[in-house]
Amino acid sequence: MTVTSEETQQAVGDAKMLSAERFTVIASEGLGRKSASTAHSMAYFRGSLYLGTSCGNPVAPEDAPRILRYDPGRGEWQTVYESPLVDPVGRQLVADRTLGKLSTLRRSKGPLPRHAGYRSMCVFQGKSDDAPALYVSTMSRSGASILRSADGETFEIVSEPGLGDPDIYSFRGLVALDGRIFASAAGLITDEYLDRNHGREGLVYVSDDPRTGNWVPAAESGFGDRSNLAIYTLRPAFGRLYAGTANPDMGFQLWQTDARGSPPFDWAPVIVDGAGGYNHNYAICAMAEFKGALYVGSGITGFGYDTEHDIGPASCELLRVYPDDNWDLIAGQMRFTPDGLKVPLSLLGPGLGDFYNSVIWSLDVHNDVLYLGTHQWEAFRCMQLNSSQIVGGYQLWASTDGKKWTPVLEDGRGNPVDVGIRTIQSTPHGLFMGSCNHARLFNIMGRRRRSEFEFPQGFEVLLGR
Amino acid sequence: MPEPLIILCPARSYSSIVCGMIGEHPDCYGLPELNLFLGDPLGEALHSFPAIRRFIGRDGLLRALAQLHEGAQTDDTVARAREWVEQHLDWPVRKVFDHIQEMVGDRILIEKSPSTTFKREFMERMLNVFPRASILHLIRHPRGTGESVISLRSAHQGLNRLAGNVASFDPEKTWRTTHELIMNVTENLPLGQCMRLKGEALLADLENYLPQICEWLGIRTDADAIDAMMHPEQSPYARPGPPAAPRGNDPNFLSNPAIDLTRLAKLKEPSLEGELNWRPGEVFAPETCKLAKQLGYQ
Repeated sequence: MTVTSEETQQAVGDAKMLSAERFTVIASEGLGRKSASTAHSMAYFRGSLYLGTSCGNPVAPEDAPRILRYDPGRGEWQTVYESPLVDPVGRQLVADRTLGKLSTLRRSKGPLPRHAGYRSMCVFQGKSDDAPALYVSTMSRSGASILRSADGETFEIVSEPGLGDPDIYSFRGLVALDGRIFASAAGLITDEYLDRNHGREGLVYVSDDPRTGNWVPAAESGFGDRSNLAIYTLRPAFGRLYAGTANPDMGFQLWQTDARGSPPFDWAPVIVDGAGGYNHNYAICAMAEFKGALYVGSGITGFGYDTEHDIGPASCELLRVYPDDNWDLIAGQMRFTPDGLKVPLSLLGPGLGDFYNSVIWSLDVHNDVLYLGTHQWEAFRCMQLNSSQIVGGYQLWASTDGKKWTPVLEDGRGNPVDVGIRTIQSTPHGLFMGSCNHARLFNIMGRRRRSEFEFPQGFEVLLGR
Repeated sequence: MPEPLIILCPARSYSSIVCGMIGEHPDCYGLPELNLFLGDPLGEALHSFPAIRRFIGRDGLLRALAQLHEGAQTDDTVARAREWVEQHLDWPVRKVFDHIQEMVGDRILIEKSPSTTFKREFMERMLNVFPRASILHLIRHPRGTGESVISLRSAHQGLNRLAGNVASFDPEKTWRTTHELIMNVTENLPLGQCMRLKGEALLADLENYLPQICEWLGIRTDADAIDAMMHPEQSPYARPGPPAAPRGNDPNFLSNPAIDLTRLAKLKEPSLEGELNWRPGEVFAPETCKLAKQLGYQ
């Protein structure tokens, strides 16, 4: 029997792929703060892993989110930043649009955390930085801020709230490209409500000196399309910047720019109409460059169903886009498109074959292997159906060629309300993976149905090596 | 023998022209509307649901049998086809299709009877008869579909009388419930067995989409094959039949089956917003808009 070079490459790739046994839990139950539901953002900076946590609904001082540092050598965590507290007045009290009344339950009468979490992180050296610094975006009802740390110990606010618009709740996708840092507005805080995901318009900002707080628009609002309600993902690839939108009318759009000259830059559409999946491909939620292509994961907000726009239920899809704008469907619904017949190359359907995988939430490359984390909401469906058994939970998939995918972790590693892998970070010390845990919400909803659940609360962080 | 291609859609969704085009591919055979999934065996298919049967007739089946048995559609050949039908009422529907397939050879049968989508049981019967059939879920904007329904009813008083004021025949409701049913019945089929296609997109860009359909079906995509598909008027069923069986397809298609590329190039999708011309003062229901947006309409 002759072994082909393709088979040899496959065998080498498979050996590099982390299996479930090679992951260890390095943080659990929100690292002592069970209300810390999500390991929301990660960055590798000055030899350590930095983790930004978030709380879905901070209602007391002890819910304050933190920035944590993990020393891989010592295997120790340290809190390096914690949200300040503010008086519970005005916008601190308005209801979350998604959670409704649930967001006002159990609220403390005393001070509340100014921040609900740290949504995005990026190591970047701007014009005023002597060395690369860690930049972090906050989620805040007082308007999103950009934090900066030169040493990983002390953090300073280096932006006006919302970069001049205090209605902006947060920023997604802090990314660096060619001496510039980019951020996209995420969410809206008004005197009436909080929307954690959508703003008034889809905005991308750019700065070459974020330390001075000098940011300007990098693109026309929504790339000129008002139905692009938000830019959910930014990612550099092929020396360009790619931006993925959320669009409830016709589905996501993917845009790219070479970011040359002065901002706002010239952007061009790469894919529109949710790649032919229309609004069930609601948004682009994760992207990563891998072996000559940009992998693009789609998803829909909520538990597979966007309540605000009445879309879904829907499952996620995975695509890969080449530098010449051609694209393949990797996992999803086979279909006719203006760009030709698209057959899912992995032979996996929507949701990678699991209807409850509603979002591809994280993508990153580690040791020549592409990893993909999902948001999987089956546990909530089980509760709706009064099932005797609650099942579900996040999945981690891996691929050495982008085409053949292998499930590495399933069912939230035994906790069905560990619904998502929110962030994946490759480092020289291994692959870090942070979860999103909805035990708190699940337990509240369960009590309303006179059911008692006691699933472990708080995010987990796993290290694979 | 190859699996057939079944086109599922509500009436007025371009199924006649699409069936005509695919049916002209050298590896395919486009059938008129057989309406054979109303029951099983054949006798039940022809005599169940008399109200529906009165509406759809049996001209398509008779024309197909006349053409395939004797190579011509005349009053005489249709009469003999009718006799054949009466003699084979006990045949399972599958056997009738197999009989047709035998005469057609190894070409893919293309079937497009809108009646298949009238009831869940008809669609489920179709899938029982042909569990591995390729299924094309053809869609058209609800406004375009509704206006076409109303226009056809106006031109054919019999249809108008039948639909009358029956609320369930409202074009919007029919559009929504039919597509929901199709999606529901086909959602668990293996990947790629059922494919959805916007009729407007296909007709506005035939050069792009016809080869995709061929690729999906695993048939030739060469220029000769695609050129043949551009001539649905070549079908023996693309004209009115003899007086004994004049129908069997969309009356508009029967009177004008050729592709008018100039007209198709001007094809524009209408809007979901605005008043409905068949229900003055009213607009589409939110659930219709939700489904239409999911299918790619604005």
